[in-house]
Amino acid sequence: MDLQKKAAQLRTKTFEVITQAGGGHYGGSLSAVEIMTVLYYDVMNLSGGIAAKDRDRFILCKGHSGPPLYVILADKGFIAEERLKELDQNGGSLPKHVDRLKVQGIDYSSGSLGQGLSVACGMAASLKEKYPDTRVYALLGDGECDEGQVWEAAMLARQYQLDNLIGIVDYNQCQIDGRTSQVINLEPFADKWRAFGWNVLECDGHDTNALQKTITQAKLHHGQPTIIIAHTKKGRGVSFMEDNYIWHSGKITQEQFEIGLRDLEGRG
Amino acid sequence: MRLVCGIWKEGAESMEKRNTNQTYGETLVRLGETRKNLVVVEADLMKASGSAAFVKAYPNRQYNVGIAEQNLIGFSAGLAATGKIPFASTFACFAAQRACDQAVNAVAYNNFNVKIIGTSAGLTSEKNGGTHISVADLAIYRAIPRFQVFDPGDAEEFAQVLEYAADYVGPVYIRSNKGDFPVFHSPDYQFKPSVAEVLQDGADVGLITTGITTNEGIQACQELNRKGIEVYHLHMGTIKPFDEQAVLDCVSKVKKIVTVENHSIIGSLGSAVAEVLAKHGTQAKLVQLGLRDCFGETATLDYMMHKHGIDASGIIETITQL
Ligand SMILES: Cc1ncc(C[n+]2csc(CCOP(=O)(O)OP(=O)(O)O)c2C)c(N)n1
Repeated sequence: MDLQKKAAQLRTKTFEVITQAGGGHYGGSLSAVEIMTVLYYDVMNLSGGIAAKDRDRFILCKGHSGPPLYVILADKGFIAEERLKELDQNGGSLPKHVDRLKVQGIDYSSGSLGQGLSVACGMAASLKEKYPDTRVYALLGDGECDEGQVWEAAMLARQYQLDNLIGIVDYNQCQIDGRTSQVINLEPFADKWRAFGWNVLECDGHDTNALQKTITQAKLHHGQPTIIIAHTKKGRGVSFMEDNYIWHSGKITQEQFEIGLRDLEGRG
Repeated sequence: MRLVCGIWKEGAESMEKRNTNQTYGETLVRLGETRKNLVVVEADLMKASGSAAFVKAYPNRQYNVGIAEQNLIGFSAGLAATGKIPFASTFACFAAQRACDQAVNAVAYNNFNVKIIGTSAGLTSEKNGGTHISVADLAIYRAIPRFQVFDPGDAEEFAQVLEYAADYVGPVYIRSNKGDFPVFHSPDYQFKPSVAEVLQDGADVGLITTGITTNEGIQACQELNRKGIEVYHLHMGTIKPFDEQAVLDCVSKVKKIVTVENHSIIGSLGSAVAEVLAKHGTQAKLVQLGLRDCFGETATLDYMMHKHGIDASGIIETITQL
């Protein structure tokens, strides 16, 4: 499968689905498309189905990026395509912040930032005992790494040598009130993770080949958890949104929707 | 029927609406003019609080701690300890839940002069959904010693509560309800802390509301008046210290009370009323409207208020069936 192409399709669909819902978290949804695509269409072992105890797990720590994940789950047949229309609707079954009790295939209900990595550690510690080949993937926001709990979990993962845990940071360098460098500067980011005892890898988070290679490398690493700093652009692919923190969330006009679609098709 | 406090008499439809976030920014700009120690502390949710106007007016009097609510409250405690008057804000859910121990220990136990503003409170978080809808913030802050707790009914009261908080020395928690809501207080209204407002006198049933449910209560009363049901309507903008006497005055006239809150029915307005009734051995039937031990969901405010029976129609239905 041409993953780069697949991701482009999923991005367009994500843009459409959020717009149809009346707006939402465009920025961090569009920045994470390739990461989720590579996980769900290549890396993660889901062959035994959602109910398999030894399947890989995915924790979307930055829970506001539910739309691309729902688009993927629908594309893969885990949920009915029809349900995408229910995103964020009154009485609907698809809340933007992913919800494990409403959507089959979601491993953890998130929305409160900074908690996911701890949960991922718990899963990794427990799965390691019985299913040594099972991996836990956790996707974090960069702004999310302001939360102290992320670093508590980072120390814990090192302590228990959770090499079955692979964290990926969607490093789009934007949060809500500004660029991360202006709000709370994370740099030197890779060094921080290294200092906390993690194996650190970096790659272009919009290049599916690079992501595949980097995650494969992470899986081969023993004795330490791995963090992948995936360099991305918030609002990727939509000209007026790309790399602009203002588009963390919002509503767009019909005209903006058409511009966005043209941008996305052009890049296809 | 008699209007006891100065609410607009034309009726709910004709009341001007004001935006809560805009009120926050404008009020802080005004308060900050003379109170040079007043500072704003944000946690990557400046857009959601409305403090941008303050930042524009006084660029050197704002701090942004990033997405770190525990740090937000701890840092604010330090600012207060050294003479500042910090107005720290984040979503009400995180202000109460994530930073609870910091509010207890760093602020209340040390008795530091920190003002915590819980934004997008309760169901006004709307489409952010269950993880963001604070069903317990008032209960949590109410249970913390030394905190005064407010859920203002409209933007006018909100502005005056902010002013009160700026000058009162001690920990304060104030709800900020996202959106545009009718202003039922008249221009000559004067906020008084821990004094409930009698919005309407009546002998059939008592209605006690707080925050955004007061507007719903006012609308409900207009309809109930037409039906000939006389409602004694109390607005409790202060959740703590609680105006016990106002509740006792109410039950001296009516023997059935309905409380309405944009919150869990456990631990806030309805519970406080129940405590007053029990403490004084007062016989009255109490019906508590609010979220019945459940979470919110991703939906619009109107939809959820209706679903939980805390909008005007839900109040009317409950009262007519009493
Ligand atoms: C504990 C907590 N605090 C605040 C928020 C509000 N919030 C939602 S998204 C967001 C910014 C997230 O930035 P980042 O983690 O960089 O995500 P991305 O840019 O990838 O969307 C904030 C502050 C939240 N959801 N949880």
